[in-house]
Amino acid sequence: MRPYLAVIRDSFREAFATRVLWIMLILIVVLLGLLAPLSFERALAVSLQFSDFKNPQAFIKELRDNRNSSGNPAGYVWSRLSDDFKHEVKSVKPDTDRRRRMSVVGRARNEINRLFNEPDFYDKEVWSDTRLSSEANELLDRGLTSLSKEEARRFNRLAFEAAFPSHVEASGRNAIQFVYLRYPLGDELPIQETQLHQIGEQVLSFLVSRLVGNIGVFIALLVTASIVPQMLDSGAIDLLLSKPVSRPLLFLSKFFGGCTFILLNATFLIAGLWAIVGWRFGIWSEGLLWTIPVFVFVFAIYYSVSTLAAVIWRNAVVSIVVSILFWAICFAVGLAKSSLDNWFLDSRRTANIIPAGDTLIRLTQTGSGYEWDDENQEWRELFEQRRRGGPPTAGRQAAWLGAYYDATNDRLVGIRSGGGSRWFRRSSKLSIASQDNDWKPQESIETPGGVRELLPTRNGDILVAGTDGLYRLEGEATGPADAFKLFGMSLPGLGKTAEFVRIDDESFEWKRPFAAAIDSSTGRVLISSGDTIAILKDVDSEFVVESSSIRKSGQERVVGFAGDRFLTASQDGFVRIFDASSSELVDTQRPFGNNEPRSVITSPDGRWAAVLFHHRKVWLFDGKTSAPIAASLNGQGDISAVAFQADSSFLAADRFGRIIRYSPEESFAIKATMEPQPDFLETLYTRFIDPVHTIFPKPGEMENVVTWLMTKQQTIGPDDTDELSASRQVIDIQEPLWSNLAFLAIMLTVTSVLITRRDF
Amino acid sequence: MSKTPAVSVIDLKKTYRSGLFRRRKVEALQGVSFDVQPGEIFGLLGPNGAGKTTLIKVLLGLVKRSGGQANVLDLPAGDRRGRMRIGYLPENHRIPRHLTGNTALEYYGQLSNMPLSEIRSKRGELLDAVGLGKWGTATVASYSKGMLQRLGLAQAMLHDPELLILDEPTDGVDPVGRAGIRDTLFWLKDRGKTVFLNSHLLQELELVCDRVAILQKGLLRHVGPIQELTQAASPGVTFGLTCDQANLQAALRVLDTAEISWRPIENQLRPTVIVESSDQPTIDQTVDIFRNANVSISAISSKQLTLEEAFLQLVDCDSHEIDAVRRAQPEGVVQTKSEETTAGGNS
Repeated sequence: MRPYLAVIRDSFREAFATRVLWIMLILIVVLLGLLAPLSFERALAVSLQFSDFKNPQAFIKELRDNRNSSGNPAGYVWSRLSDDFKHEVKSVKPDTDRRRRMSVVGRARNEINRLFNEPDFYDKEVWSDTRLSSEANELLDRGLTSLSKEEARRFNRLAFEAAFPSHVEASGRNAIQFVYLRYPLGDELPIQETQLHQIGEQVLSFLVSRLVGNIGVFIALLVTASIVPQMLDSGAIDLLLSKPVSRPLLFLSKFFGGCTFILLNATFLIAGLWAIVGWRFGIWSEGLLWTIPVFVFVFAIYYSVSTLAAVIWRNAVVSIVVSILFWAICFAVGLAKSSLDNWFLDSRRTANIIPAGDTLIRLTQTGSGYEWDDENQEWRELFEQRRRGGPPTAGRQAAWLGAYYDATNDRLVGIRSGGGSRWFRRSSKLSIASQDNDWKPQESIETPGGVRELLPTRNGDILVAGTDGLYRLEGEATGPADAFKLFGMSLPGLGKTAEFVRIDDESFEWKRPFAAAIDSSTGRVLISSGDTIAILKDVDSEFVVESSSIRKSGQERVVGFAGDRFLTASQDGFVRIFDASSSELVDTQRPFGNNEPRSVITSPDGRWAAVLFHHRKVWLFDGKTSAPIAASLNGQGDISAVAFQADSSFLAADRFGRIIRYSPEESFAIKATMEPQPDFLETLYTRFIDPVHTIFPKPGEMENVVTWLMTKQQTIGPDDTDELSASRQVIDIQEPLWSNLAFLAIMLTVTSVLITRRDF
Repeated sequence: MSKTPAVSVIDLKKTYRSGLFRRRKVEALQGVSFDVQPGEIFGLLGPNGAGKTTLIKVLLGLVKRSGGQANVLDLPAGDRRGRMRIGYLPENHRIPRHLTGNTALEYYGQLSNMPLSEIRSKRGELLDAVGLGKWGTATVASYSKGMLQRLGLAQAMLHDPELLILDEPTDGVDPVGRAGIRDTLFWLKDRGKTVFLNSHLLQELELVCDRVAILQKGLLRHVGPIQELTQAASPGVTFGLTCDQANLQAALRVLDTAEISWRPIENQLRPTVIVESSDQPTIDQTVDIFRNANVSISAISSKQLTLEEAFLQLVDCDSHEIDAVRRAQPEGVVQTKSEETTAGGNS
């Protein structure tokens, strides 16, 4: 080993001597020095954020409607707004475009935040009918004049929240203020220190994967590109090869010498970053340190291409050009696959399977509906959902939320998701499609805010549950659509013959993360709300808590009944089985490690349950024996939706429209397969693009590994990570890791063979 | 029992191929055979493009042979065990500029699998021996061409090899330095080392080599002791004569009759004739002929050619034969300096 260690050592000697290392180290020190003054201070939550608005349009409307009554908070707040803003609100018409409406919301936020700074914002008389929170009362008791400036602002915020509980979320007490050299950066953020850690890790993950992973690798390639060509220079290589050394090992020593040089730089940069972030923010992220080998691995992949080019052409510039071309090819292959996935093919995947009487309907991720035509062995299109721009799957909610078949009224009931981001979510509406109308969906009224689940009942009632409570639809769901509109957007409950009526006794605390399920045989509702699991039962048309327990993990995200058991599945991959009568934990399973669950589906008779995970695998459970089922399902790893038919047959959807029917009674034997002929695009994808992508190196996808190391997230999805039912992109660590390793091994072998056979 | 040659080359061939589908061929070595005995200093001569560097690279395993056999230290050429016992100084070598004299020896010594402690104990003495004793801590970037050559020689000697292959060791070295390198070569010879020398400086080779081989256009033209070469190429014996013209003419007619080859040298103070033979009976016969014809011999001298003169003479006369051989070769086989260069051969 002595000769090869000497070669590696010489790489360092060369790096130090050529000053490249020093320059890089100095640049890293400068970068870390610029980051070091960034820190945070604990503050009181004052500023109103976009996310604090439950319904900003309704809030603005209320202010406007009360413009002539200064005796209540809405009129009082209106009176203190700037004339400019009032004028702008008045100028907004129903046909005003969305961007303008959003701009008004933004200004409203700024105006309100400005009011919080005013010492006389609170008026005792105006707030006489408003019930202040205990924190506000505490501050009030101390005397407003004795409060610090920050406390006074906090009090104003609390008073404001108390006055508009239906429009504004209640804020936590603590916030974080980012500072640079003691100078505040923007408004304080209403986050806890634990959330700061999470956000910090996400920001670091982005910085490391983008800055270090891309720019850093490129700089590293530039710096190391000349190492192998210089070794192969005439006069240098003959001197080396005249020594008793092996050619492949000599090359590999040079290669690893280059990698070690980069390892040194990456360690200095990332360990420095780790120390600064730990020192300034208290985020001692172990994952950040693990990104060092990942970064060096990504560099090694590109460098293996660079060195192969160097052995062939013996020119550093050509090596760099070839490396860039390689990057472009990898990018193109990845782009081709993800484009086909996101824009064309994932939208064809089944998001919901709905056995509707004697027919079978499937809904796609984008919201299109298809009915199985058994005669022609194809899916007949029932309706198509217009796409709202952007890729339809990754990071977006499904177009339909919790659609089911209502056998009593022979209709399909679902919630059409409004989509949008967490802060600017468009309203969701109930949608009804009856067989009489050839399953064409008819839009009904908007669902209450925060609705997460649609609960199918035996009697045809429509129940919805969410973070605002449990509601039942009263009245005719498909009445005339003459909703009152403000700024072109419907307001809930107005102008409809139907409305959602709250049916829980309001004693239960509804919060996120949230999940709900109904036992259709008994009508009991299972709720997972925050860290509480509760069963609600119907007592004289009001749902009251029958039993509740607090889970220490607080991460139960999907739930379902299965006979005299109920199941919960948590984000960390645990499936827990409880006794439905006593709510006692009976069994705990973790079928697929820490992969995240997506939904729990149970058979109508309550015996069978299936948990679908985000990595498209299904875990089955027999409620009768209280045991998992070791069934071999086709397409495990590609299953996008599952369902049970009325006769408890199990349906699993995979590929781009295939649904297989299994018989649970017969050890999940296949009974029927519904699969249309693949079209050109599907054939191209399955026969060419996907295999090429599988065997092709994926250095770019190593970013996902960084994300996983930093955040421990298994999937990337909507920014609201509580919603596990939404489609999420699974972070696949294994495939890029193995394909990249295989590629690296092949490149180094080919280069070694080439260098062995070559005359010098 | 004869000793095993340090280098043994039998019918060695090397053909470089290039171009699309490797159709273009350059025959750098065309069946070269010779031996180098242990303990001798052996010189390899030849004009540019003769195949000298190719031959050396084959011996070191840098280039793979196309045919024939090459053994070094009783092992196949290029064998790692053999390279362990060889010290090599390449032509125009490039020692990385970031190294110092000391670290360069550490680096190359470790590549020869020497422990660092051993290198450190030897390097001072070695640098002194090549005249770089005070330059051990200076970076190679500050070295002159001659100093680089001497450092190259030092790294070749560092691991005490049995065979040293030196390609143009005195290239860029001043006369004093050359003398130093000559001394080093004799010192190595005294210690029983074999030195395989390739140089353009024929005077240098003449001074140090026991035997030489001459390569031309991939063919071996001569191999043997230098004296044999210079004598074989000697122009003959010069006779300075004192006589009248009639006697001289009569004597020259007799020389012609005796088939002794001669030629006059013009513009001399006295008649001067060169007999183109160095062979003693012929010289004796010529003296008898002149004396019998009453031609007085006022001076007689035999000119010993230098290696350079002998080399040039050999190369010049052989090139005509070689060209004739080339013309007889099949189409597609080319052998020009420019083509050799494009083919990547450094011969």
